[in-house]
Amino acid sequence: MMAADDMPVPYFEIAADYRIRAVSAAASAIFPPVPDWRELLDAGSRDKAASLVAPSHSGMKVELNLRAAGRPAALFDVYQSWSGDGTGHLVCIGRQHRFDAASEQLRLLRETLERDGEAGGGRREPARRPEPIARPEERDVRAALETIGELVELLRPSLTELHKADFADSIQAHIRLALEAAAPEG
Amino acid sequence: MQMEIEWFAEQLISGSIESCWEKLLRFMDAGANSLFIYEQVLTSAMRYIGSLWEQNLISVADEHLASGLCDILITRYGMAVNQAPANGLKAMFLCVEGETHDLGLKIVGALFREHGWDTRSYGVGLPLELAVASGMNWRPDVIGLSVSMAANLPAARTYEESLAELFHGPTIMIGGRQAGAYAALRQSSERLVLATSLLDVGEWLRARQTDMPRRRSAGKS
Ligand code: B12
Repeated sequence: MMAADDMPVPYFEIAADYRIRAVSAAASAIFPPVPDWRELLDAGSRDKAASLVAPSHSGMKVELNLRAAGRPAALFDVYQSWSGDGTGHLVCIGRQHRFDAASEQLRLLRETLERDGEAGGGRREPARRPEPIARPEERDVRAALETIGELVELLRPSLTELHKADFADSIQAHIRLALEAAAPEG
Repeated sequence: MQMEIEWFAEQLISGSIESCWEKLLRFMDAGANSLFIYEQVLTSAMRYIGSLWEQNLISVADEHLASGLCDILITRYGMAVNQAPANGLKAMFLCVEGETHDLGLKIVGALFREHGWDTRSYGVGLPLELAVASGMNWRPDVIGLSVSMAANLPAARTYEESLAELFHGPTIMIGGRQAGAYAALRQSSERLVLATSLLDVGEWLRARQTDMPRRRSAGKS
């Protein structure tokens, strides 16, 4: 059988009490060195691992957040198999990049939905709006525009240093126009 | 009620936004208020989804989808509910740096708007220096911070301390899944509100509403 160190995936060989006996080079490259495998678990994953990473679940894949690559919680698929003598074999495949990509996609989708003013996702109107309605959309638009204006002002010193203060003025002018279009306040 | 929450959570996971919305409308018809919708339905359903993940019954991909739907429902509900007339008070909301759980923050922002507050939501990723600068410029009466992950408790403390120094003396409000842990570190006071449940926030808003004219003229104490 292949030596643990040579396994081309992040691999841990652990004893029945979760003490780490051997790790692959691929695992040492991303996980901090700890004596007990459970020390890698994020607080929110401890109970899950305690009940599901165990000989009685040999063969089951478990999604867990582990301390890895400098992050306090990165997502992993943990594959486990347990030998008759109580030795555990854990392969931990990183999923964080896919997770981050999915988060980003969702963020963009949400922005698109918000931009189109279609919070429901469908083409139809929200099923009902009780009267009277205080035109919150208008208030929201105004608040968002004011926030943008303020953030631009915060960037003004840096823009001035880069001789790009004109951009700030131009953005502010557009915001003023949009605020006027968004109906007078009050 | 638990069965209804579980049903609602399943609809969120399966992407059935319309059945979720119909259910919220039915709750509203039965007289449910916003505190109920936000806390008992949406928050409970998301936490239940968290417990399904802990039992390995769903994956984070399911959590993602459910979160997206929950976000949309918060917006929709906020638009459908009656809003009090503007009361002249201002609140700004943000997640501390490193925190990306923002559904709670969105709920709280919506609740404040419903009570007539002018709100600004910076969501996630606003660095402390920009938060302080915004606080200085806009002079909000309340600055609400959200913290869900234990690892972000120290950041919450830093934000709280810096924002509390703002000269106009805003009330700092801390909420989120770790609000309870935060309360173990810090005592609430008149200028520091530790909101461990949305009911606390509702009560605080009501008290503030009746108290308002005196507070507004009192300025910084
Ligand atoms: C949904 C969810 C997500 C969604 C978040 C979507 C979003 N836009 O917010 C997604 C899938 C994106 C996600 C990502 C992650 N998550 Co997550 N997530 C959850 C889950 C299942 C539910 C959280 C939720 O939305 N609850 C519903 C909201 C409405 O409740 P709430 O935030 O508590 O807010 C209420 C109150 O607290 C209050 N409130 C909130 N904020 C404020 C602010 C103020 C001022 C006030 C007054 C009140 C207030 O109002 C709300 C209404 O009642 C929890 C599990 C759980 N049990 O909570 C895990 C959980 C929080 N996540 C966790 C983790 C680890 C992560 C990730 C790190 C995973 C990863 N590998 O990347 C990332 C986060 C990355 C980062 N750097 O932040 C862990 C945290 C563990 C820990 N150590 O603390 C949990 C506990 C899961 C677990 N058991 O491991 N997650």
